[in-house]
Amino acid sequence: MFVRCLLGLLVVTGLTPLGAAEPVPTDPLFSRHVVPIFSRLGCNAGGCHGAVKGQNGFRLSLFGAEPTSDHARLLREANGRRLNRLTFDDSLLLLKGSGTVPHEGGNRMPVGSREYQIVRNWIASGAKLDNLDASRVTRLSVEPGIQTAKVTERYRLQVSAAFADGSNEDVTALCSFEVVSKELARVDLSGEVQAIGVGDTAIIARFRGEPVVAMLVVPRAGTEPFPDVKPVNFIDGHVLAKLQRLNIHPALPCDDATFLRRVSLDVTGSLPLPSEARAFLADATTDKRSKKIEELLARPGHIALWTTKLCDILRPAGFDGKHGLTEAAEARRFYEWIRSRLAENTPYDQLAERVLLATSLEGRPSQEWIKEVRSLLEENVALRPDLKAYSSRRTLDLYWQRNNATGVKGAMQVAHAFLGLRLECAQCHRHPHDVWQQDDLLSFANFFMRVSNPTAGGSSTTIAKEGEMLAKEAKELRDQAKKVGEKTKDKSLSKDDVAKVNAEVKSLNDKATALDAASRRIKGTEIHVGGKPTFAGVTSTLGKQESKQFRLLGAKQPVSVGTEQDPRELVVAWLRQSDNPFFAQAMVNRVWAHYFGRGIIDPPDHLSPLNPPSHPELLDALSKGFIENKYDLRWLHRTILASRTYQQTAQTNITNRADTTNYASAYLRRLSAEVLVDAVNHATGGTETYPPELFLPPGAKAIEVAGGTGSDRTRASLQYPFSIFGRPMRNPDVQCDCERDGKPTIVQTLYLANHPAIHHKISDAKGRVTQVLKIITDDDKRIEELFLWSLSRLPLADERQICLKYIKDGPTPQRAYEDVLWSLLNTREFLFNH
Amino acid sequence: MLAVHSSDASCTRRRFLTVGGLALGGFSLSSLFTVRAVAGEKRTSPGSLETGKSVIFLFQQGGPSQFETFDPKPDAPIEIRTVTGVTQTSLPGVIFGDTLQKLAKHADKFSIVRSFATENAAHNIRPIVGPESLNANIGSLYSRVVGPTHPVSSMPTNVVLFPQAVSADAAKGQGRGDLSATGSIGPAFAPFVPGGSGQLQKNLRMSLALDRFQDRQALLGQFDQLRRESEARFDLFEHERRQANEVLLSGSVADALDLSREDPKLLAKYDTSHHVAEHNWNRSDRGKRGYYTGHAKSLGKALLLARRLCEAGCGFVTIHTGYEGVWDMHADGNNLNMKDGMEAIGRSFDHAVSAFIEDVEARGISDKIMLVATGEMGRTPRLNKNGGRDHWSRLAPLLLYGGGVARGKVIGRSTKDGGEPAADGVATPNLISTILHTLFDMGQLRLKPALAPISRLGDVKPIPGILES
Repeated sequence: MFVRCLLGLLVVTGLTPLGAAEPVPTDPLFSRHVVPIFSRLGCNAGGCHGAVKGQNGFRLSLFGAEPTSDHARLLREANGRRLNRLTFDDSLLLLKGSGTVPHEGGNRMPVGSREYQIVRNWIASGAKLDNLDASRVTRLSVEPGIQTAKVTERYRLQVSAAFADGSNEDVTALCSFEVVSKELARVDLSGEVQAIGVGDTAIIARFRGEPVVAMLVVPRAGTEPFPDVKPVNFIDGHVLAKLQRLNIHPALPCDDATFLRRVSLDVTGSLPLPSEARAFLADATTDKRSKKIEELLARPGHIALWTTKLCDILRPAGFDGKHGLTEAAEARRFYEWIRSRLAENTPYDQLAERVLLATSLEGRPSQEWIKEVRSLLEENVALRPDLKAYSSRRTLDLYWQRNNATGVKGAMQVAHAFLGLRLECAQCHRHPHDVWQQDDLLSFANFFMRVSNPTAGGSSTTIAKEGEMLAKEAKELRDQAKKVGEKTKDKSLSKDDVAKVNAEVKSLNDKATALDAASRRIKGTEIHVGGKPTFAGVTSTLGKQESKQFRLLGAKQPVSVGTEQDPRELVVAWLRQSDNPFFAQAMVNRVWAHYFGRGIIDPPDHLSPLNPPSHPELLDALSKGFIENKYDLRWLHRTILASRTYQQTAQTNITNRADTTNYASAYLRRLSAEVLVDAVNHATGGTETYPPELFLPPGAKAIEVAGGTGSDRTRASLQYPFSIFGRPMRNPDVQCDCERDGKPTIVQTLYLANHPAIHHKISDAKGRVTQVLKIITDDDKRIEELFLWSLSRLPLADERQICLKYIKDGPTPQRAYEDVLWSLLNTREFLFNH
Repeated sequence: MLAVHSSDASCTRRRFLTVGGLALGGFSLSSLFTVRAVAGEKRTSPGSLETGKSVIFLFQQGGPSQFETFDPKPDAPIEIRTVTGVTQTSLPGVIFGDTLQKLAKHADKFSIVRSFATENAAHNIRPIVGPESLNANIGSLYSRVVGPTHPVSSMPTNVVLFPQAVSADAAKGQGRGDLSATGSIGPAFAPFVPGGSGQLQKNLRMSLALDRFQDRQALLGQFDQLRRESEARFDLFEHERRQANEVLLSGSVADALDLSREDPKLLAKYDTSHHVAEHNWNRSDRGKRGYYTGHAKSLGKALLLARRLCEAGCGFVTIHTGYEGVWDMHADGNNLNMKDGMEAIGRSFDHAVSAFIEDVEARGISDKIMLVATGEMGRTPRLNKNGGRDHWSRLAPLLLYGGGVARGKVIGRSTKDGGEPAADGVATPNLISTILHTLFDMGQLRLKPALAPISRLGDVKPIPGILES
């Protein structure tokens, strides 16, 4: 820290009369000068004195949120030794901060530094608390807002603050600075930026906890003419325009085999069949790629893939058995409901509405719903929850029947799932990496407080009574079973007769169990709106907070909600406003991230002014297009897939090698867990075994798995690959797209190289190798076939030679071909979409 | 520059940067010791979630007595005070039960808590797995944050050691409760159990004949060579593959698990088998089943193994050599009385933990590994009529050593009868928070939304005074 400060000062004095020359205020104000210094130097960060428990007995409010309590602690705690009003330099605050006495945090403000002088002057002038209303920041701005610089060039940021009392101040020397893409630029405490890499990045300046963002664009040096590349659609226009600004040349279009493999994996989660690949390669028509895209978008795999994606986000987990819900069966129903909507290509806004405004009755008479519930439980007994009874419902009431679907946690999920916002941190405090306040979250949560669900009041009274009736019926059935069972006491009964009686008893008891579950479900889970009005609150280590307003996210004013109204309707109406800044963007951005491995805003679930998009105009155009096309998801997929940008090769050129954010070439993406399991089975001819609670037929694909694969590590054969390749847990407590883990690890490599399950699939008597050897006699053709099954392309001449030699030298063809297939599965080309 | 994209790719990149060039230059087990030591010192590297420290949790199932261990109450009436007599420790004015003579000499190096209550009086595996740890093994919380295996060594980051991991002839032991529980954290983060037959072991043990594996590698190498000439960016993943092969061919993880690679003199120092005295123990059913013997045969070696694993990249080790509860000294047909029980169990505990402390001190790694020793409960202040003590929820012994734990502190105090905390009461959430604060930079952890359920456990105050020197 000391070195950094010193360097900053040296640079500053060496170049321009900047920060050091900034006059030290003689009469500094606590909240305007002293608290910002605590933030600037990291004293009030969560890892230091800003921690809930403070550090070493000294606590500051996190990021200086509460100057009053900070002031009180400085004055009163530690027997007043923190501030020495007679010999100012003996104040513990200065002694510790300057490292003059041992300080775990080191020397943060060296004696004589500007920060030291400000704090000293403040103590000298009476250590007063200033008027916080007058010192409230009304506007924070940074200059230059956008700067273009060459690599190694330096420039200074200047931050000014306007205060509520009308005064303005240059606060640069009181701010901290942070570069978002650290490989692009460096910034020091004086606000001096140096460009070090090509691309663009945001730089965040913070005064106290308040952030403000500046942009930096660094074009590549070099004078080669920009290639003459024709955009296919508006996407390419935006991407190419930025590449031209950055002087980075786009990659060439990819070849047909690469395109087919990439688009098949991306759209349907499956590799193409060898016959399909051969036909595609042989097709000489010019529009074969767009025809292929249409064909793939209509396949069941596409629906299954996006059902899985939406389930990652909507999280069909946390169904409580005590209300007659069963985790595995409800997860399957949830999945099937989404699948049916996607199969119908339900516009995305309607899909959101049918989730968010779900009720159990959907306006029907209660008897109809009760009938529905009873049929669902009969499906459970028959192990067929995948049937139409649920998926043909108009709304997804299961969404609200999960634990934590309402209240503050429910609101956080709605914000995450439909708006791409992260509000977790706002539960406790204002977050330094975001703009949301606790009150924003609580006022938004109030829209979901009237939903009566299992945890908030249960079913309406009349319906609950019907549930009671069923419980009585169940009891009668049990009594009857008991009575029937007594017959077995009769010693004269034959063995067969006893078995018959027992079967009858079991059947009666099974019926009673189903009725009981139905009864609990009817009593507890009827989703309706109109519970007693309650308001959202949170209790944290910082105390209890509550809001009594209904306020939409980002809105300044609250809205009024009638006592009989379903407040969720206002949320849905807001989502559909064409100027909603989040709803369409969040979905467009997630679909984009699926095809490119990164969002235009990245991470894709972090829409925030502090996390600016790489291509704002592109995101805007895509969102507008999505809305104009009536939230048609297929339009969105088709448009992205048709672009030249999507169809580029991963092969880099000399100008774009370092690019990771501007789509100058295709980026490698590891296959996701389900897709990988399916790809291995496709290549090897293997299958998976599914335990009954996954409700899947043998031969089903991994992408069709709806719920969790259970904690019993031996039951589902795909459980282990799911866990090591990062299938999300869908833990209801966690809201993050990052739960789906795409990182390559050694354990994954070990799995493909060495796990007995893989060896078994390769050498299985019904497997690909045995089949190919049986059906095809020519070694050349056999090799082609294995390449097509695994890498979806024909072997290069050299690869052919290597294989032929290996097979010739091998002890048996079976063994040699097994080795060839193993090697193909273990290439990076197989593990990645490229 | 890394061109693979995932929302958290930077994390991988950062992890590889922290371990530095070692990852690229190939690695050997000996280099890993350095990796982890270096990682530990790099605590302040921006954004790192880990402190580089490890935790060994010695779980004393059955419920150890507070009286016969660290809080003997010699002035209390005879039916309350320790049955073993007392011994003076290296700390002035602090005495332990007489069984812990070796530990008494090291009392200036560790801290004990005399006001710890588990609020639980049943046999289960709290506090290692319980509602306070999201119903997951605390080690699974660690794995969830850092990944199930170490990025360089592929050493599992979360391990449970039963007697069979170190002593083939010890009675097979599991424990009451599922130490592999992962709660809502997810089965991917279940602990690795050496001597068991988990999926990870299948992954790590070479499953093909060596010559065939090498043939395949050679073929794959030729494919790669061609591909590399045309597509340079596949190279980026080369080091992982090399590491994977290294793990398979060298058996480096297997080596860490192999105590015969340790200095025999050191192994002898740890070994507690000479505390086996079966003729005294066979009076009780647990003794007949070989549990007391199994405990004595395995505890010392298990602690040595735990240290080896931590040095090779493991961050959390649970030791369970207590079978269904060897510390459960009721003096009934099933269990020994307090006096015999302490002979049977306390002696090897005293020996093993002392050997561990001496070894760790000699290696100069005491600030890198934390040892926690406690059970699911304590024992009744009043001896029962047979000279045993029964289940007690309101006070339990707790020892903490290393990894930043204060040296020679006695934290809190109990009431005169040793039944309850009299001051500075400590509960399970404080202990779990202490462990999390040792393993993680909690300020950084809190910035990860996906890890919120874990970081929230760290909002509770750590045990007061324990992490300050």
